[in-house]
Amino acid sequence: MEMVGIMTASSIQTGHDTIINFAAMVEMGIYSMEELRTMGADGSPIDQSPIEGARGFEITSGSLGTGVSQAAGIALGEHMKGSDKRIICLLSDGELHEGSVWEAFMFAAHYRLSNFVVIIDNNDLGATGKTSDVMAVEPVRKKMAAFGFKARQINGNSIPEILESFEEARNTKDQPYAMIADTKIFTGIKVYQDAIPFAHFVGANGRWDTGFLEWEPGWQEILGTIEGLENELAALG
Amino acid sequence: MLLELKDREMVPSAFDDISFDLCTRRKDVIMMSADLAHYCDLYKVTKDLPNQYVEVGMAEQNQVGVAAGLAKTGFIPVTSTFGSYASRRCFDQMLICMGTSKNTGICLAFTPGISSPAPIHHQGTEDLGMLRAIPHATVIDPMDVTDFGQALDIACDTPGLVYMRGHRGTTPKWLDPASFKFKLGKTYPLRIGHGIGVISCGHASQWAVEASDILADQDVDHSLLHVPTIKPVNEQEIIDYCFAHEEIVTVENHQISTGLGGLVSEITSKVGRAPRITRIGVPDSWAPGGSIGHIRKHFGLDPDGLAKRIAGVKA
Repeated sequence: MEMVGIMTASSIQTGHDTIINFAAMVEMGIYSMEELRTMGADGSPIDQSPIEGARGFEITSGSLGTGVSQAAGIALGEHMKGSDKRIICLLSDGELHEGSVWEAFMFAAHYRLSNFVVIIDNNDLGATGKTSDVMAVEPVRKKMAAFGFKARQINGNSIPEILESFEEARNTKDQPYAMIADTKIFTGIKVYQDAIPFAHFVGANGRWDTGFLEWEPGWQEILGTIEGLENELAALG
Repeated sequence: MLLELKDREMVPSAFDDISFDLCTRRKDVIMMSADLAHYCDLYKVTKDLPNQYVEVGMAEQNQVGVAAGLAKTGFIPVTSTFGSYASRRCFDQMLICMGTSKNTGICLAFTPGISSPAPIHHQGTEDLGMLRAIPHATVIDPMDVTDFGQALDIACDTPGLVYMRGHRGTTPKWLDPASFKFKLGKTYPLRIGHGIGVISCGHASQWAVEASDILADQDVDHSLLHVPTIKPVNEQEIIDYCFAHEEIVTVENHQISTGLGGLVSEITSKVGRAPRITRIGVPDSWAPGGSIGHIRKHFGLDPDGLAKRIAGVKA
């Protein structure tokens, strides 16, 4: 049976939204809902970015530029052992500023690691503004292709397109695969739109003192969006 | 455990044999390089054991990251590059990818300290201090082929990050393999005496032995302690040694801050009222380039200069 390991390579976006991983692991029974509710509290097991050894996490994330190399090393190791595991590494466009990720891309292509998939959450968000303003990274797909990846640019907010891209990755031989997922944070949630591009931390919006209550009206909208996504997934079977 | 002068020999390309022997015995060991294999005496593994060799190109940070990944799949990765790059360029990768992990990841640092002929950029004289600040890391600075080879074996069974300085080129074999047994943290008396206690590690233990031969001829009462493990070191052995002498001199192939001298000072300060400690090494300076003989003389680390400085602490 084919197994897929998911690595969250720390990045501006994915490192700090690891709450999504924790939420998924609640669904898997690795964490409890009570633990999830302690996010951000002192002493909580729900860390801002996970450290190796935390339940469910096999690498330490949080230091930009270190995750892709590790994921590529795991992919090489699995390849050397003759296993059929595939390694999926998630990073975002902000992390492309780190030079070491390009070392890792070059490496993965040189060793023709077809069991290695990088998903680039191409959301045009950095820590202090739009990636395109801070330090432009486009054209990402062309760069990944030039580095030896089979590279596909998709609408990252479309579940069918993501699934289709994964299928293409699965069938790719002799080279690693890059899914450049163009995403827009808070898609479908109107109340959060004015937080963009200062959405490094949800609710901050450059105003640390206002707190989350200001966004309270958004909850009904969020719940509605989640329900919509669940229906979409159910329809896909 | 120190070989008699007549039995001391020089071994060419020592690491080539050490690495080949290790990889032949242990098929889970992977040697790695950042396009410096031949400059670190890595020949036979690259040619005869290609399945146990991974080249990453001139990308030292990626080398350590990939190594940490390989470690997670059950291999024992041994990265190799010059000490300057291993320490300064890869520090975050060593700390984050290997330092927070329980998987064994070994980083070898060749031409450490002033043992590189190129100045500053190829000389890593800060690494021991940097690395020993990492929690749970293992830091080793061997003096010759005997403890280098033995320590590398032990490193393969040591969890987490192991940073070890390497020796390249023609390397002394001064420790007697028949009586020397490397143990993590253990300190090794190389010459017994009183008066001045000389504590050293790595290349500097070679220098200390050379100076000691001169001091012995001059009837200067002293002893030598070789400390190959910078972390975790047996603190009680350091304390017992220091309090058994009137003066302590540390000699290291490193800046005199944060390295061995710093370590010994920290340990003895926990007890208090220890003998004076004179730290000898690179004195908060940039080293010149050139032959090791030239650089040692520049800093008063040549045999005569060092012997004079050690004897001088009691003047």
